[in-house]
Amino acid sequence: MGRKLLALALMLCMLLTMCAAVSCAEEGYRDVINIADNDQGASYDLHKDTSVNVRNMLRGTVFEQLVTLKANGEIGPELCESYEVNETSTEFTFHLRQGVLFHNGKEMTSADVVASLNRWLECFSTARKMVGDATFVAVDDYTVTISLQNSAIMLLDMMAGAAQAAVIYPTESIEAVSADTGFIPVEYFIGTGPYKFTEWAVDQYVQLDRFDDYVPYGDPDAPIDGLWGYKHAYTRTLKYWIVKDAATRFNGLMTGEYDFAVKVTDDYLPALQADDSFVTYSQQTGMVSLVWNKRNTDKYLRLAFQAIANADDLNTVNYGSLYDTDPCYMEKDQSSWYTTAGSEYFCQNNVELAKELLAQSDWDASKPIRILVSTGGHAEDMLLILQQEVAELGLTLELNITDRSTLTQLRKDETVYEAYFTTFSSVAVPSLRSFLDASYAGWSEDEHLQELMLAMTTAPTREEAFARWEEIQAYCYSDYCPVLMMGHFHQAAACTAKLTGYNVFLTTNFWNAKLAE
Amino acid sequence: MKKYVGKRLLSLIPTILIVSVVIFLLVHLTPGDPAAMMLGDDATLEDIAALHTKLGLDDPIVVQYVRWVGRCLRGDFGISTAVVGQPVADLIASHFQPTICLAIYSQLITILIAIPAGMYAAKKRGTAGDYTVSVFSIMGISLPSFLLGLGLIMLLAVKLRWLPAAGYKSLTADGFVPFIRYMTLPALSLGFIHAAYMMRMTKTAMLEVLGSDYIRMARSKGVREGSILFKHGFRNALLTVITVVGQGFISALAGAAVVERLFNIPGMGSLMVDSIEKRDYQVIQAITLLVAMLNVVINLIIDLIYGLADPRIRLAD
Repeated sequence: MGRKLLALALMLCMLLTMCAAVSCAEEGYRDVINIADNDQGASYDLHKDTSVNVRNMLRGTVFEQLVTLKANGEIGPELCESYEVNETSTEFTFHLRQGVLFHNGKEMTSADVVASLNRWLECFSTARKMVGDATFVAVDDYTVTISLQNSAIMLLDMMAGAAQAAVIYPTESIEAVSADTGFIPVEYFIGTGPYKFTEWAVDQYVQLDRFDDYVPYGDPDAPIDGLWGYKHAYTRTLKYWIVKDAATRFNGLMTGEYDFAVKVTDDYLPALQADDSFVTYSQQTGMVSLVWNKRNTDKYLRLAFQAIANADDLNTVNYGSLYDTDPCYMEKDQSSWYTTAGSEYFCQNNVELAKELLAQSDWDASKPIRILVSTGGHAEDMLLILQQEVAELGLTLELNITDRSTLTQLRKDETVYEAYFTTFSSVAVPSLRSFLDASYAGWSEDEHLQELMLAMTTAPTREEAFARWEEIQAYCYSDYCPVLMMGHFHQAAACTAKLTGYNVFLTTNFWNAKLAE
Repeated sequence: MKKYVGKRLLSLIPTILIVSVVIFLLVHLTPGDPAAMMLGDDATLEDIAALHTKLGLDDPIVVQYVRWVGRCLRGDFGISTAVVGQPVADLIASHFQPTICLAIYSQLITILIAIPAGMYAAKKRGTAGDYTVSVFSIMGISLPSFLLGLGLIMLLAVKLRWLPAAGYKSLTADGFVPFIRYMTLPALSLGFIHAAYMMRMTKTAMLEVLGSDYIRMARSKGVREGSILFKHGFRNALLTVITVVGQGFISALAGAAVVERLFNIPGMGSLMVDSIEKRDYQVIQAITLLVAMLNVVINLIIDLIYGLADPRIRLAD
């Protein structure tokens, strides 16, 4: 009897194994996508950590927001069914989707949303300033509202796309915030997204596994629209390997260790482009600029630099082919904030005009212009090109080349520099462009600029806010010149041609990606 | 002997104390802000300042030092700021295994290549074999380990697909075969460079010994050449070899950052580099203390091995 039972069990096992094999063969797709990322986050707590890698990996994947961005810049409801904004943009009401589950199995209610969004306001000073003393409150289990003193139409944009993402955690996660650091511990990284945060092996990988009880939204037959839409989560596991060296990412892609690699540098692209088994693409990732210390420089000196700069010469030496000379302070992906206002002043490569402008400046040409720049990449080479360009005006540059941490510290001291080189990643709304902030290193304290900024952030409608934004950009280019804008850098990514279904908007999202056997 | 070991271990106390003061000052006087690194590039100055205060970085440096030493004495090395919330001790423990494995494996490769080659070159002095060993030795000394690593990756991983290009598999968690597959290329890169140096040292030491009177005496008495080379020659040259192995081991533990980065191994070297970049004060301080301690302990072990290798050496009590 026992033997018969054992034989039966064995046969059953074999049958199940065969079924599984057939099912796998029919599917023809792998269970794991290995992604070579270039760095890890400090915390993966999206309310606090503004690193690009962190939000690219987790936003929409592990954690979701009440609202998110569509490709045309519109705001789409994600964890809410719908939202309402009153005419003066002072009252926002969100009607939550019912039945949405957290990765711990609990249903999301207004208590979780209120706890999360009020923590987000605490962590994110820009949003806090925008709402003043107001906080999010629960009306009932599935309705949340916030009432403001002043209009703040851009609050929605910030909730949808800010670097410090307004993601929703369960109340348990908010209560578990560490008293020592103020961050949420790893074991409480619980979201509502199609993937669960399973493991963070420090300096090795982050593993995200499919959440089988995920409650999707949108049309299952339609493709993802920006960051909005139906997420199928076809692949069981997304494994983000931390691979800091570009050569290692490239070699790993070539040998099949990785299926996808971020930040492929210009020198490795030709080899991948020449090989049909790989797909490469690049996208605008951020703006390239020299931020002026307005307390040490006058506008004519700054405008003279803008007049003489040749954007192609400057960018080629650093980014090779991975750049464009688009003049907008925002990225092209953010179509609702895209403008070319003031673009006629962008890097004009005009020596005569530069000389005229410099003649009006109080700057003592015998003094070197001190510029801070950090190591990594070839930013210092860009500045050597700039040095040659401004030499025609009789100006000299003194480069102080440090590591990134040192630059971050030095730029707080207005006495040690006239400008610093940096890149800015994309931001949700123009008011988050930090170089326009009066308190940010470089100090854009110009009264007219700040009046325009206030008018934009308190505009009651998006149309009005956009009109103010166009005015701001035009004024910066034509008159104030807070930065020497040089264009936008691109980041290239590459993957095996067997990988399909990923969508590219602000970053690459793997929600609907499939990797063929 | 016990007294000698005790004295040497006691010398750790002033060493660690001096290292702790120096490294604490160096780290804290270097410009840079862990709070800014924790919050990322887009954080506002206001948010950075608030976190700075929360982390206690606004306190006077003496207060911070005393607080840190007090915690260390209780076995608490603090919390990392580059990997928020992670205890430094855990972080070091998880990164120590790959590094110690790499150090041991690369030293094994070093010894296997360098000692036979060095002995052979000494024995066959002036022949084509000697010159071949010398050429390899000079190549190894001149070649940076990352360049050799890249060459090995291109050949053995990308072209031939024999070994993986990068990554790490743990000996304990993943097993012996995956561990060896992933560790061979980095160990070869590191081991070959050390081997080049050790080859030269072994050859020089052997030549010195083989030219000495007692070897001539042994030869005149008709002792077999193999016995002369291994029993009399190599044993007397062993002290130099042990010293070089010890130094190689220490440098593999403390300075394999480039190889670790190239092969994506989560070891102590890459942890140190990342911690410096991100101004993770607690980790930098803890690793420096650990490396200082390892230096003292490994040198002590080498001294003890001297006594075993050469009975003429007696460690004074």
